[in-house]
Amino acid sequence: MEAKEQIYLSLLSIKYNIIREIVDSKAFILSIFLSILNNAVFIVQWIILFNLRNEMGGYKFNDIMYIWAMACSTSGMAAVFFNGARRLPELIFMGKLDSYIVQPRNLYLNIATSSSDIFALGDMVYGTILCLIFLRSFLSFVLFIFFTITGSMIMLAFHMTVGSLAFWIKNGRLVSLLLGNIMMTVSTYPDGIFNKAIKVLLYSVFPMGFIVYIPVKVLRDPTLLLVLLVFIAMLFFLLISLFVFYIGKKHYSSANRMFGKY
Amino acid sequence: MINVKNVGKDFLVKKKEEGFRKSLKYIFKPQYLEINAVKGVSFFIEEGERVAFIGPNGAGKSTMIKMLTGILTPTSGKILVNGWNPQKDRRKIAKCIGTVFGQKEQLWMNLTPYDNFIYLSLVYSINRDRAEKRIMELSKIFALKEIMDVPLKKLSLGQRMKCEIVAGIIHNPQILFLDEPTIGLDIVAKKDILDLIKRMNREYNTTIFFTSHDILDVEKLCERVIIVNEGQIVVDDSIKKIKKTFFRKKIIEVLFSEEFDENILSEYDFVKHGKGQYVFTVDSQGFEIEAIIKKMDISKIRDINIQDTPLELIIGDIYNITKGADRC
Repeated sequence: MEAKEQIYLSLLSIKYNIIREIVDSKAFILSIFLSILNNAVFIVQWIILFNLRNEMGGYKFNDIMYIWAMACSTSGMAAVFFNGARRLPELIFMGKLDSYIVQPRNLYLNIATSSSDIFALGDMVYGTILCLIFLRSFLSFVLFIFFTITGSMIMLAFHMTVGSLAFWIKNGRLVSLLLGNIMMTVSTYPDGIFNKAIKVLLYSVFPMGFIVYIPVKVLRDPTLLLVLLVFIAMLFFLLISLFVFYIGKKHYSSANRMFGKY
Repeated sequence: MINVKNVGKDFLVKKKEEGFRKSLKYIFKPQYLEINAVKGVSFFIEEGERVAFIGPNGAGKSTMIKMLTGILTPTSGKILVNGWNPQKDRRKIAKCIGTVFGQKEQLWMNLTPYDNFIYLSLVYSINRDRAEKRIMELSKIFALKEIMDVPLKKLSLGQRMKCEIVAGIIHNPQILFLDEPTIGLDIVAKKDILDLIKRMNREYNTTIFFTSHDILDVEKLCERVIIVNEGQIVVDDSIKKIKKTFFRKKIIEVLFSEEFDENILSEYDFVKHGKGQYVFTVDSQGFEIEAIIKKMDISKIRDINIQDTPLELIIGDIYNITKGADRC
């Protein structure tokens, strides 16, 4: 019952976030369109590269499009539904967690769903368009949806974990931003081009392996074991983030600053 | 209802020294300063009481309110609110308390008060019908009907603060924590808000825990005052008793019609004087008011006004007296 209520509340929070963002409808539509266009520009870069070489780190052009589809849809979904996780360091720094702590709700979810980056809808739409163009079967589409959900949950866990560093580090905002940028930068390149040490990082600290690379492997060649592995990894990263967040919360020192909620 | 025993809160603050060189040194060898914001504070508040928790800036008021509401974890001691530990039973406590932070807005600026209230009703598991009723009731009491569909960012500070209070009491809490809720408000808005809080206390027996720098607000709203200074309680008593104990000082304002030798009044504390007007304070236990007037020669007095010291000055004196002294 409570879980149902929490999900409903989270959805309502997202609905209100959307209402807030679409006040300026022209800017809203234009920015979604520009976001799609921005992503599409990178296709040109890959077309040029694949004219020079047949494959890149073991990936062909279609596989790169799978990588882009997965990266865009997962990051888009995470930003639309769980943008609060990305804002966590700012909330900690400004002492804005107070109003969430005094509410009788699951603090982790309440914060994660407290904000939506509606413009990331453009990324979600772009990822889905790529998926519809390049994927060949219905099963692939179902798997794509599944991995978009697991991927966005892993991204949520990643942002909540690195964001929680702000409980200990005063400038945790910057650290979190840098770590997030590193993850996003590597996410659109084939893992075959990275050396072993970086690959270890891609399956641990920056879990793009479970967000993009394994899902792409499954989309190319469906394997139940890998699907399960991604699911277990998602649970693992969520548990880690919950642990770090609640330990960190004990160090929360609040602040008296006069800012409104936007 | 609220039981606080020997509660302390320490903060570690990174030390910093001037200059680039010294800043670099602290990167590799950070040093910390321990700040004891709250030191062994104990008090008990009964259900339905209206208590002011006041003190100068940095006395530990906000820290205490944040510990009581589960926002901060105490370093030592024990807190029970409605029988629960605010840190361990955060969600249980959150259901029966309401909070209004004057320095922090908890509502969404781009949404209307109505949307904000509906969302908060769901946060507190109030079903839609009951929520609509409650919003109607509160919007009537707080005179918000006209602005229910206007985005919050377009409202005046007073209107926004009223909305913040409605947000804090939408679930009809048993305890209401108000941290400087009247900050920046004009006299009319202040009066409205204080009257409404008082009414809530009267009608629902809501316990009020109030912090403010405005002693007039404290006097209007509360019956008991806990004064803190430098993290410790220095006075915990009813306003009536505080007045009785500390109202020994009288303020005498005299306007003389002709030249007056002010040396006669040299033993008293002058507040101001000039152009035949003298304002001074006397300790009514040490001096007879009648004798003082006689000293001044009544025939020369054009006007005289004798009044009790305002509570504001008394509290200011208490802040000064207790600075750095041993506490009770």
